[in-house]
This record gives sequence, structure tokens and C-alpha cells, in this order.
Amino acid sequence: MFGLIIAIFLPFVAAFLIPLLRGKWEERAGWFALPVPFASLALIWHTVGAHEGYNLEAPSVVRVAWMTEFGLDLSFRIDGLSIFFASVVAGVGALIVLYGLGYFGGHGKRMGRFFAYLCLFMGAMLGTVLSNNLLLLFIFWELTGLASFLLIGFQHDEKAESSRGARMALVTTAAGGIALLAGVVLLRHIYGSFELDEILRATTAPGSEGLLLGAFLLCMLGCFSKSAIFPFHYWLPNAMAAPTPVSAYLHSATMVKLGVFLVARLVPVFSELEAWMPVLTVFGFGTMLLGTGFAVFSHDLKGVLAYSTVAQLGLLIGFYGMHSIGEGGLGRLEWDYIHILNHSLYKAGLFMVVGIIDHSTGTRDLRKLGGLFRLMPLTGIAAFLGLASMAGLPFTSGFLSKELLLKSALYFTESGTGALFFWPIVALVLASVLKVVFSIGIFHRAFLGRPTHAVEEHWHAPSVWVQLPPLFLGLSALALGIASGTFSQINAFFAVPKQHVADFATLSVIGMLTHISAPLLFSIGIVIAGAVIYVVCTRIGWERFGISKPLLFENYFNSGIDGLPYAGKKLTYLIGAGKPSWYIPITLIVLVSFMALLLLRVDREFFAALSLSMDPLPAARAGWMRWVLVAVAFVAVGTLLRTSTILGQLLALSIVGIVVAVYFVLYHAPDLALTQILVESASLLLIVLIVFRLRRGGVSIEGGKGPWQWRAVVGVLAGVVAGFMVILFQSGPDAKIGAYFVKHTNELAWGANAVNTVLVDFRGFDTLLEIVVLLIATLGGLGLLMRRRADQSATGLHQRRRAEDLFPVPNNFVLRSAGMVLFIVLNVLSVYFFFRGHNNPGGGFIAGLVCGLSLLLVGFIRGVDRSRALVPMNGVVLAAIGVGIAILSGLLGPLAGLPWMYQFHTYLGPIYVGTPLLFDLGVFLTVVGVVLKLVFPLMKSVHGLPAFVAEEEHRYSSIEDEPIDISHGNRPSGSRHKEGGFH
Amino acid sequence: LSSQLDTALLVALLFGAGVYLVLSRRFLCVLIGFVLLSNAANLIILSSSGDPSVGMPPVIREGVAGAVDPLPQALVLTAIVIGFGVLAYITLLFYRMYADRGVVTASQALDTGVSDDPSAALVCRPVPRSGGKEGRHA
Repeated sequence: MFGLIIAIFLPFVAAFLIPLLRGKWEERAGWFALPVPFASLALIWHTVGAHEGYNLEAPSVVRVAWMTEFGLDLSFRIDGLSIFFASVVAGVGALIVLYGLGYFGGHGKRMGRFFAYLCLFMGAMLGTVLSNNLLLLFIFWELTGLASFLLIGFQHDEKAESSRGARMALVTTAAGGIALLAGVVLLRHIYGSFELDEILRATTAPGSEGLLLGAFLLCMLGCFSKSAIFPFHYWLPNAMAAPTPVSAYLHSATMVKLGVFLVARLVPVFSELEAWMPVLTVFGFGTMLLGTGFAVFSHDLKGVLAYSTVAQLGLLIGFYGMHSIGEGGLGRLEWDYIHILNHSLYKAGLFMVVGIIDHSTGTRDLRKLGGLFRLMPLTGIAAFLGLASMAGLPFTSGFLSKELLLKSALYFTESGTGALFFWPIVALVLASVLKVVFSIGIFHRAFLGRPTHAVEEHWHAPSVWVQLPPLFLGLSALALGIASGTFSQINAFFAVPKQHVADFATLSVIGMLTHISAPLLFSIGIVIAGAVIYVVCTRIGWERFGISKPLLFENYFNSGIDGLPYAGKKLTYLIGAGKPSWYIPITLIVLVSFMALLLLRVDREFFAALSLSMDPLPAARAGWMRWVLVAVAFVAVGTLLRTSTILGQLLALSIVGIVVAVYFVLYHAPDLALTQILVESASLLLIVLIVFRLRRGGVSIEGGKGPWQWRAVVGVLAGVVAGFMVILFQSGPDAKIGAYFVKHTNELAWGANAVNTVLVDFRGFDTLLEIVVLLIATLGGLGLLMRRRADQSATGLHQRRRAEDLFPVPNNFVLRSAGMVLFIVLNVLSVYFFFRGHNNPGGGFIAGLVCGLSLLLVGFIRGVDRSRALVPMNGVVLAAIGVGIAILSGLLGPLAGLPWMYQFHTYLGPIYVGTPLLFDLGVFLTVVGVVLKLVFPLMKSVHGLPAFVAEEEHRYSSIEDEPIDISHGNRPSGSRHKEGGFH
Repeated sequence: LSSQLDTALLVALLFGAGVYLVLSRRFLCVLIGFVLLSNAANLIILSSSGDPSVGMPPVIREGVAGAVDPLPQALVLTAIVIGFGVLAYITLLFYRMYADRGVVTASQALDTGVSDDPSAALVCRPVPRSGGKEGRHA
């Protein structure tokens, strides 16, 4: 059973290994890819043949558990349909690799990547056709789309249409893929499983018909987009910008057949639906007519083939549409493999032929080609065989296919009444006539006659190697057309029980030709009509024909895609882009009004009870203190808003910070108070630094705040809402999660300080994520400091201004010594806080802040460089190491078979040790790194150290170009402009 | 339910002033406003642990009962530090904008030409003043 899984994953492995080839080996990557399809093919047939129980008469499933809880297993189905398609994929794949070797001739660029993509595609295809699990099928299905995107766009750097075509194919098929996913999920909703065999066994619950119809339509959207059925037919001709081996493989033989395959796969699921027949026949045969029409009027050889492929795909979809099990259908399937195989043979061959023509003559334009038969007879024969098969001439596989189709369509007219039942035969006859027309057209216009001037000018002969695969395919079409018995045997061999008819009649081409029947008469009529139309059109002149613009859907698609960025810009502009200063007000106003609405919904009685229970006059001393603090805060904030000097504002800000810290004490949160004081100091330092930096640049930072009225209104509203949040959000005494931590902190986490144990142990994962946030902030800071101006050259270094040290490093021995002493004391304190944290207020955050502040202190007193020398590492690296240590401490648990972030504790004598300490060390290092990285550059800049100023100006400054005016602009407020907006 | 009227008042004050400052066009005011906002937000979270007039710090020892809820405290502790990280990032951002383009207010950042509000123009004299006023409103 593993043979099958290896067969599917072997191409994936190859896809990863082949790009590793280098140099001359890379040029020969194709030879490494060549064994892959053969091996897969062999493994698949080995699985089918060797094992008892895996045969095609009784479909069986190979299942390996994967994500069973999501209903997703690696389960693969062995039945006629899947093995047939897998054989086509691997078999044609082998021929394509061979052809690709000749096509690129070993001198193509990036061959390793090309064949890797090809292998990737092959693996995805095999996975899709063999999947039993519909979700798995979807995954592989999307992978094929991805691989085809890479393959179509392979020459994106050489041809513009290449990337356009690739994008069109990807967007169209992926959009359909989403619909397919929705359909598959609906199917699971109905039947309770993604597994096809379980879906087939289950009975449809009554009342789910509507859902089933929805699932059907969604799945068909996916199939139609993949198989380029109207209205998605536009992507296939555009995807022809791909290299020819890709077109031959993806766009004739395999990928575009996926839609057809899935329709065949889902026949037993959906074909009882009433919608099955009309949807598939109308869209299928409609696409067929459209495709053949377009093919007749195309002048590009690849375009003709692409549109004829679209037509053939439509035909196949329509064919399945006729075979509904429900009322008016033809019942079980018959001969569908013939139609698919026939098309794969001749179309892949023809694509190869076109590739050869393109390669040898430099053009694919039918108006310029001519006389190619004399120049390359081998290709000419291959082309003749392929075209004969496409036109459905006798003794080719195409003839059998067409006869059988005509027969089916004729039967279909008798199986019901109404115009819909005559639609297939009418469409089929018309399309067949057109097919004859362009088949003759290609051969006559490109191969017969004398070589044209355009051909001779560019001519170089193709190698024999490249001509052999199409010849082989053409001959197979001929062989199967003559040995029609084999053809029918193939069909019978791959028949799926309960889906196909039980017994297939043996086909005989001689019998068909000698026995006068309705299909034969139709056939003769078709060929004659086609020839006549061709002659008439040649008289008129083919140059006069062309596809009218409104019918080319790709134009709509392209303008849609091109319009997207435009629409996005419009929308952004509409929302208020270009004015980022609007964003905060808008966000705040929305938030505040939302909160206010919530407040309005609160019960009135709640407020009544609240006002009763509230006692504004506090009982205890602590309560009075809090009121005093609030009063202090009011004064401080008032000063902050009123004063116009930055020093006053900073003073007021620090008072507010201390008020909050004392509040934390009163809330019985010593850890918080410590952290708050430390962070408040660091924040103030930071703001002081930027103020100094602006001073050094000579910018006035005082005065001029702009209109204030509307800001005051928003501020008051926000404040009121926030105040209400305090009153409303408090929980009752019982509803506290924290009670658990309080109860168990000693026994489970071995620490008395519940805040610390929550941080490092109980909710350590949260803390881990939080220090990751810190790391991200640091990385962001790094990005801000690293980014270089694009026009660096504009800033001449020689014009450098003399650095003016506004904040010189003091040259005072006593101060410097005291600073170093303080540094040592602070770090001892930091270590003390660190180890104390588990049982007393303290911990990694606080210790880290103390350490960081001590470094800042040294930076102020002895200069940044001396301070940096104390830490041997870049701040970002330090923070990253910190996060790494925290993660490592969490990994110890899994090593011992325990959950992730399980913490170990023990005592070494009287000293507590445990993984929480390790975790806390990570926190510590992260905090120190953040402080270092984010504060030091600014400090350095403030110091105006000449070297740094040079670096700064070299890196990002344009100040030199725009000298700053030092005149202070504290203008009288009377000159303020009136303005309404939030500028 | 408990009386936290004072906390509510303090939060309202800090939050309101913070919002008022953050809406300012001067980068420095925005920084200060941000500090006030994070203080207010931390107080809101902490206040959810209930009336502070009863209870003990959540350091659990023998014979000590009635510890307050440690969870909001743990949340706020990390929030304070993260608030600092974000503040430092914003400061660097403003520093960078200043170093790059010489702007210190939002109006200047939007329009390196002349700000349409003279009182907000912080005397940077970046670009020729011609036509700036009309251009902005057009």
C-alpha cells in the first residue's frame, strides 16, 4: 500500500532535490527528472497488480491517518478512474520530460527549476486524481494551480504575456478553487465526511436536497474554472504563453482535464440531481461551440489549439451531462475514457508540433507560415496524424470518438422531450464541422505549398529527438484508431463498477465504416461540409476574419485586475487617506461612541444600586490618601495642559507617573509600583532625550498646538467613558480567576509571590508572547535606525556641520566615580530583585529595568560608548537571546514527556532553583536589550559625538539640504487660522 | 460593589488629557499623551481587581489571608513594560522623521510645504513658501 503513496510523493521529493543541482549538472536536470514519471507509473501499476484486494473491479482505499480530527487523512482511492488518470499523467509526463530535453536542447536557463516545477506539478496531479479524501483532493488541486502558475510564468523575464497569462490562470482557477472548497465543506456537512467512499455509502438525509444542489453548483464552479468552461474559457489561450512542453502537458493532456476528472469523480454523488443534465450540457456544449468558433478565427497556431482544447473540454463536460442517472439521462457511463484518451493523444502531439514550428521558424502565425512539410517531413506526418484525429477521419482514434459521441447524442434526443434534448446533437454537428475546417486549415496553410519568405528567413532544422514524441503520439492515435478492439478493451478495463455500464461492446472500425448508420451519415456530411466551408473561406481570404473584441473575456479580466489598484486608491482616498492625522480622531470617535452606546444599554437599576453602594467619603486613611492623590493629579495634568514650556510639562508628567505608582501601592501591588517607577524614569529620559535632540537641531518645540476645541470635546468624552469603565468593569469577589493562583502558588509553583508565579509559571506562555512583542518593537527600532535614504549622494559629507555637544559628557572626577559606584550598586540591586522575585516583589522585568537604567546612567555620565562597552552585545541580539532562553526553558517539559512550558522546581540547599528562573532570565535579557537598543541611539545623537553625527547625517539626514531656522516661533495665538477639520 | 469613585475620576482625567494630547499635531505632545494613556489603561485593568481598601498584597505566606487578585497585576506589569517598548519605538519614529525630513508636527509631515496653520508651523523652514497655502486646500 505504500507503493501508491511513494508514487505520489516521489515527484515532490524530486522537486526539492532537482533545484540543488548546480553548474553543468543543472543544464542536464531533465535527465534527473526523467526517471521520476516512469518510477511513479511503475509503482502505481505495481500496487494495482501485485496486491490482492487492490484491483480495479472492486475499488479500494489506501488510508494513512494524518489529521483525523479534522477529517483529513492521506487516503487514496484505487479504481478505474483514478488509475486511468494517474497513468495518463505519469505517461504523458514521461514523454513531456523527454520532449523538454530536446526542446531546451540542454542550453536553457534555470533548467533545474523548470524540471523541479514539472515534477511538483506531476506530484500534485497524481495526488489529485488518486485522492479519496475530498479535502485532500482540494489541497492537491490547488497545488496543481500553483505549479502551473510557476510553469506558465517560467519565461516571465523574457515575455510580458508570460506573467500576465500566469496571473490570469492562477487567479481564475484559484477563485474556482475556493468555490470547490466551499462545495466540499458543504458535502461534509451533508454526509459527515470528506472521504469519498463514505459519502457514496451514506444516504442523503431528507431535507438536504437544497444543500446538495448548492454543493453541486459550487463544485461545478471549481471544475468549470479549472477546465476553462464558459465563462472561464479566457484563461486557457492566454496560458499558452508557457513554454511548449508546459502547454502540451498542462493545457492539453492533464491539468485542464482536472475539471472533467472531478465531474466524472462526482458523477455518483450528484448525477441524480435534476440540475445535473441542464447545467452540464448547456455550459459544456455551449463552450464547445464557442471554442471551435474562436479556433476557426484565430491566426495564432497555439491559439487555434488552445480554443480547440477549450472546445474539447466543453464537449467532455457536456458528455457527462448527458449521462445523468436521473430522469432523461443516458444512464451509466460508456466510452468516456476513449474521448479523454483520444484528445490527450492528438492534442499533446499537436502542441509539440506547434512548439517545433515555433522553434524552427520563429513564428506561429498561420498567415506567415507555409510549406513546412518539405522542410520537416517527420513533424509533418505527426501533424497530419494529429489533425486527422482531431477532424475525426476514419482509422484514427478521433473517428471512433466522434462516432460514439454522435451515437450518444442521437440516443439522447430520444430520451426526453424538449429543446434541451436536441441541443447536444445540434451543437456536436456544428462543432465537428468547424473542427474539420480548422484541421484542414492548419495543415493546408502551414504545411502545404512552398515555404514562405518568413519561414525561410529564420529557418533552422529541429533535432530528431524533439520530433519523436509527437510522432509517437500521432502513431498511437492511428494505432488505436485501427486496432479499435484494443481501444474498447482499455475502456472496459478501467470501468468503475456502478458508474460505467457493465459490458462494453467491442468496437470495430471496419464494422462502423461498412455498416450504414445514422452516425456514419452524419460523419460524412460533417467532413464534406467542413471542406466546403474551408474552400469558401479561403476564397474570401482568412485575413479578413478575426475574433471580435467584445468576445474576448480576457480584456474584461485584465481591466478588472488593472482596475483593482485604482479602485483601492480611490477608496483609500475616500476614507481620508493622505491625512493620517485623521486616523486617530476617527478611531477614537468611533470607539468612544461605541462605548457610549454600550453605556446607554446598561440597566438603570444597576446605576441606582451602584450609587447607593457608593460611599464617596472613604473610611480608612488609605481612602483619604487616594483622594489627595487624585487632587494632585488634577493639578499636575492641569499644569501639563496649560504650561507652554516643555520642562514644565515633563515635570508635571513625572508627577502624574508617581501618583500612579503610589496608586499601585494603595492597590496592594508592590511589583507594579516598582515597575511603574522604573518605567516612568526611563520614559522621561527618553522624552528628555528627544527634546534635547530637537534642541540640537535648533527646532523650537514650544507653543503652537493648533485648534484645541474639538480635541477637548473628544478628550472629555473619552475620559467620561473610561471613568465609567472603571466603575462597570469590576467583578464581584467570587468571580476571580486569580483566586486559583493565590491558592496554589505555593504548592504548584513553589513561589510565594503570586504575581511572579503567574508571570513565569501559570501563564508563562502569555509572558513569552509579551517579550516577543518587546523583541518586535526592538526590531522595529532597528529598522528605523538602519534604513538608508535612497538619495544618499545628495547629502555631501564634506558639508558636515560641526557637531555641537549640547549635553557634554561631564568631566568631573567625583561625578564619574559616583556614577560608577551607583552603577555597581544598581546592578547588585538588580541581581537581588531578580532572585527575590519568586517569593517577594521583584522578578525579571523589574531586574531588567534596573539593569537597563544603570546602563543609561553610565551613558549619561561617561558617554554612550563607555556604557555600550559594558554590554558585549548588540541590544537586538540580547533581546533575541532572551526570547530564545525563555522558549528553551519551556522546551524542557516536552523533553521529559511533559507538556510544553511545564516548569521544574527544586531546592539546592536553602536556595530555590527551577526553570522559572531560567524563564525569568530570558525576560531579564529581553528587557535589557530593548532598553539598550531603543534608547542608546537617541542618547548618542543628543551627545552630538562627532562620529555619530557624521554617521547620522550620512545615514538619514537631509537636514543639510534644508537648514533649520533657529528663530523661535512662539507666535501670538491671535494669528491662528480658523479651520474645521482635524488637521 | 465597591467604591472606586476616586480611581474612576483619576482614570477619566488621565484618559481625557491623554486623548487630548494624542490628537495634537505636535509629536512631543503625542508622546506625552501616550504616556498618560498607558497609565490610564493600566489603572483601568488594575481596578478590575476590586476595592483596594480591603485585601493584602498577593505574596502568600502562612497565616496571611485575603490577598488581592494577582492576575490583573500580572497583566498590568507586562503592559507597563510593553508600553515602554512602544513609547521608545514611537520616539525613534519621530526622531527618524525629524532626521529625515526635519518635521516635528503632523502637518509638516503631511506637507513639507508650508503648513496651513501658522501657529502649528514650528519654524522649520523647509521648502520655499510659494504657493503652499493654496496648494493644500486645492
